[in-house]
Amino acid sequence: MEFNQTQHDNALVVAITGRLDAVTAPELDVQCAQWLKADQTKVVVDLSGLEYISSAGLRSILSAAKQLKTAGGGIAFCGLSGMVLEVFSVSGFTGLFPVHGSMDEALAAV
Amino acid sequence: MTPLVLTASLDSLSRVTKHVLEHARSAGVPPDKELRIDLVLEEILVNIINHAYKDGQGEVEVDCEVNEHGFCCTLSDTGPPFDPLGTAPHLPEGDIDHRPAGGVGLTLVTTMADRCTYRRQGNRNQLTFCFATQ
Repeated sequence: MEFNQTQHDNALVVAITGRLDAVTAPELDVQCAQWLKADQTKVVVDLSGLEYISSAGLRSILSAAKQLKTAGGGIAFCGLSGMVLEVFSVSGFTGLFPVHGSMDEALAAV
Repeated sequence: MTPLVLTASLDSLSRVTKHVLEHARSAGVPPDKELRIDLVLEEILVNIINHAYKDGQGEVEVDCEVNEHGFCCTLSDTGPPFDPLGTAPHLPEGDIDHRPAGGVGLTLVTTMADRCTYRRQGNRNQLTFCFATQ
């Protein structure tokens, strides 16, 4: 799994590629701690390059969302498709988080 | 077919997945189902690690077969009797602040697999999932 981060005017865009599973999910926890440390509390997560996610990955996403919200920011998602969109949908995460069709929409909403 | 027996740990996840996917391909499971199989395997293995052997380590046995239900894979453990399918799957509720972290894995298993069954055989929990073949 890889993280590619780009600073935009109002938010940090983080593109996650590869697999977000029980083995790699702790890496997202580490990333989230770094965002908070750098006072980056508004994050748009681009999942267009994510090929696989499990409940362990969802757990880390929920944890990150809670921490960012507590810090006064928020999280939004874009680029979901295929299996990742299906897992978000089945688990109710599409109703829990703002999920947008494009990065511009997500940036405008976060 | 000889079952694969491994320590129930996250270190075994990639070997379990490789083993099962090889058999699934041979059995004729469509390639677009492979990520679903991958997911179901991870959720069941994590469940075994966290619940069957929460106080220590144990083994997981992985057995694949083709039968009237298609390609079927059984994961078994020697933990205390536990039927994860015994209660109707329900998703945790609440907004971001109130939603609990867990409770999604088994819903994913039962949604993604074409068929799921549990049985207690001797001292073993046996969870079987099946996918239709082409």
